[in-house]
Amino acid sequence: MNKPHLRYKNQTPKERYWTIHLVTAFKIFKGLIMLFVGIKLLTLYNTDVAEWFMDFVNRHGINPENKYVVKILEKVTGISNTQIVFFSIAAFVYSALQFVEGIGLWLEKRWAELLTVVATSLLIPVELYEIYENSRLCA
Amino acid sequence: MVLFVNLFVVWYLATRLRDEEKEISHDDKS
Repeated sequence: MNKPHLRYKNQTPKERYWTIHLVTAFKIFKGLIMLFVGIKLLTLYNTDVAEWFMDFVNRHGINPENKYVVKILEKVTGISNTQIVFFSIAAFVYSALQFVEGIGLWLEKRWAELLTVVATSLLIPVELYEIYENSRLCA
Repeated sequence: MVLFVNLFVVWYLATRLRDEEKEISHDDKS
């Protein structure tokens, strides 16, 4: 079997079709996750998020002394309702953006390609910063 | 891993847009 080409200009029409549709699937998947996160955050309105998180950890048999669990617990302790609503709205906006990109790419619209390039590349510095911060904190 | 996927998406779509642009301008000339 021939190795699939990743460069656009070297690809066969079938490979182009599959690459675009895999990107679409990735965008829709991210959109669904963020939609779920947004809804879940709204259900936590007026509840103690730290308490809910510890209950979640215990229910799923996760070690409560795990360093990631401790770190998340530190972050979620004392989260206010305003912050919950803010994060929920942010999750819904990001989810909507992912769906617009995904559906636009599925329909092979040029504006969707431009939107995806701009929106995705704008978030790459943020991701790099997060990776740098996490590696610094874990070291 | 998500970072690598995002880098690939940007690189792939940007080269796709550039190559399509070239094809369009080539068609206009001929």
